[in-house]
Amino acid sequence: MNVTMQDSISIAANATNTNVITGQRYDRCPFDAIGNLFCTGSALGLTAELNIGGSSITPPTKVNAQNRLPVVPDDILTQEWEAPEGKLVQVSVVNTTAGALTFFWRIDLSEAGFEQ
Amino acid sequence: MAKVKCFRCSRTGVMFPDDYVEEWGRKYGIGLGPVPISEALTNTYHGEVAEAKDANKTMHPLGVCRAQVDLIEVEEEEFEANKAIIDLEDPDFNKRAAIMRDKQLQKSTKLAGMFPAEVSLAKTRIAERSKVKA
Repeated sequence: MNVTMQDSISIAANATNTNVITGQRYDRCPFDAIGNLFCTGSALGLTAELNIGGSSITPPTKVNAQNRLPVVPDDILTQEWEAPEGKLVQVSVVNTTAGALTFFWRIDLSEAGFEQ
Repeated sequence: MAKVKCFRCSRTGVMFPDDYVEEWGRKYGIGLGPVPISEALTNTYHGEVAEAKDANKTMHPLGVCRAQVDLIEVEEEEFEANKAIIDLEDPDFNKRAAIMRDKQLQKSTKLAGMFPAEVSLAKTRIAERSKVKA
């Protein structure tokens, strides 16, 4: 089974949004999954960081400035990360500029079995 | 009067130096892909107003307009008056965000409703900037 979440959010100047996924249906992974994160910003100056269940997948990473919803696969930030069932998917976004910016994101989760 | 070559953003009208395409990806357009387009900022009024701790930075989000740029020849004075603030000179948006917010206060009823006292001040600042240009 595959599930997808996609949205955009305004990030105020010099502000941090600790989790842009909050309130989404699959902010906790519904099954053991392999995930892909795609994102873009409305202009340069955003950084994004992915954590799964408190474990860091990426450090704060610069986001491209395509100013549109992500195109698959062009706007991939990190791919094929493991997301165990019930773990929190957390994407923290920081706006390093003096103006508000929009962060566009998409997460695909594909059901997978993990070897123990 | 001396004429200069420059690239004009087809959406906002701001002008970039004549090495804009040649230096694409080095001095200009970093992070914007391989094809030269306008790096001028635009206001995205459909984006929700982002409330900052500093009220002077509460505004609709900014975006890169990504419009076509055209090579033109204009009077030097006209170029200076419409010269874009490039991203390399203003990486933190300190200069550009203030200009764009003043425009938002004129055009967005939502933002104007949040800061009614600032609308006329923004109008004055816009007028002053055009005087400097003239």
